[in-house]
Parts: sequence; structure tokens; C-alpha cells
Amino acid sequence: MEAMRINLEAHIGAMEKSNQKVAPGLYAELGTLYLQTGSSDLAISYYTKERSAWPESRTLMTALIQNIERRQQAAKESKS
Amino acid sequence: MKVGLAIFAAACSLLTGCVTQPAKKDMSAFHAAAPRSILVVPTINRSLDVDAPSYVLAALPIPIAEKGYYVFPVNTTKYVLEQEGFYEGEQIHQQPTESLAKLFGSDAVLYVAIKQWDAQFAFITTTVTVDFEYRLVSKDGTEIWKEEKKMQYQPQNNSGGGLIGMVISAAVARAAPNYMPLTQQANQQVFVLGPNPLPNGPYRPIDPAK
Repeated sequence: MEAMRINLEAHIGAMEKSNQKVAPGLYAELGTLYLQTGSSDLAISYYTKERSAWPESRTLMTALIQNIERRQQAAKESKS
Repeated sequence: MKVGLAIFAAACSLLTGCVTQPAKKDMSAFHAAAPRSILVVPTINRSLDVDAPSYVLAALPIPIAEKGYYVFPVNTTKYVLEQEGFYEGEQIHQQPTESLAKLFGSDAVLYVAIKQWDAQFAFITTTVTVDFEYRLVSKDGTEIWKEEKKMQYQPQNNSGGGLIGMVISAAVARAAPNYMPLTQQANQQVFVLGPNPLPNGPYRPIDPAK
């Protein structure tokens, strides 16, 4: 999973550098890999990128982001 | 000139002779639905290989994206479905398309079933076979496109060494058959090159090189 994340990150980096549009779903896949390893802030930022690059992903990305934010909120509340 | 034409026609019929031209399918339902985005859900596995679904799922997004559609991220889709309690392809394929499409906000859902995925060993040759069934359903539940593809290959015996060499290379092919190129070829045939390809999607003209 770590290897997949590194590959994906390198590919996205190369695409962005050469000003090419990143293929559908790649930002989101990277976001999910981050989510699964507990980096929810990075997950949100990649889901946001997917949503602005591909408007078709809006419903899913918004749902995923809201889900994470709700969990972050709940975690904060249980701490305080 | 006439003779030349006749020879040309004969040559053409020789080339195409044994291929029966399948009837062009009615694509009016597809064009009425005009999907922009396609949700590829985890596959049904009817083969005996437990790894087949992951390989097949991984090979699907690229050709569909190349046809110009927004393809939902397959791993993220799998993750979301697991969060909803759906782990098996069979279970997911039984859900109404309308609710899957609504959950993800997709225009259409692609269902793929793996009918065959194996390597058969017969003394000195191994035949690797994959057979897939593809079904695209629009968000209102109408089936808008359907295909099936079976691909086979026999690895060439280039190890030399006569009979023993052939037996060894056949055994190697069976122990570690290379399914991915065959799977990718099947997808290319079905989505792009075949007689009933997926019509181009909205992103196709903008990004023709990909």
C-alpha cells in the first residue's frame, strides 16, 4: 500500500509538473490511501482536488469529506 | 482492372471469410442516457482464482477513461462499499442500480463478471484463458450496453532445449501465468476495437491523445 501511494504520488506530480490533466480518480485514490493510514487532513485535500478537477465526482467527494469532518468533530468532542 | 478487383474481393473474403459479422447493436438506449460518468463496481468472480477480481478491477479504469468518461476511483469505490457493509461482488451486483448510482452520484454503473480465468496444462502446452461479461446500466436501471469477451493465449516455447524445454516452459506458464496482458487486450477489444465498442464519452475530444 505504501508502494502504491509512492507510485501514485510520483505519477500525479509528473502530470502536474507538465501541466497535464490528472486522470479521473487518481487524486481520490491517493486520498483514500491517506485516509486508510489515518492522515485525514491529506485525504480531505486530495478529495477536494478530485472534486475541482472532475465535477462528476462531486457527490462522492463531498460525502467522503463530510464523513471525515464529522469523525474529526466527534473525536474532538470526546477529547474535550 | 475487373480481374484485379475480383482478386481483391476474393482476398478480402479470404481474410474475413470465417468471421461472421455480428449485427450492429441498437445503441439508442445508450445515446438517450448519454452517461458522463461510470461507476465500476467490484466484479463477480465465477472462476476459481481468488485474486482474479483485483486484477480485473485494476485493469478496467484506463480504457474507460481513454474513451472519455469520468471513471469513479475503483479502490475508493470498494472502500466506500465496504463501509456500507458490501464486501462481495455478488452482493453488490444484486443491489438496485438506482441506489448505487445515487450513493455515488454516477450516471451509469458497469458490472463485470469473470466467467473464466485459468491456465490449462496439457503435457507440453499451457493455454491461458480469460472470459469476461460486461454490462453497463444507466442510473434509471436500463441496460444500455453489453458485451462478452473471451481471450486465450498459448505462451510460445522459446526456451529451446527440445521436449524437456517445452515441458518446462509450459509448466512455468501454468505456475505463473501472465493474465494481465490478456485482460488488458480483452478490455481493449471490448471498449475500443471490437464491433460494439463503447461510444466516446464527453472528455474524448478534449483529450484525444490519452
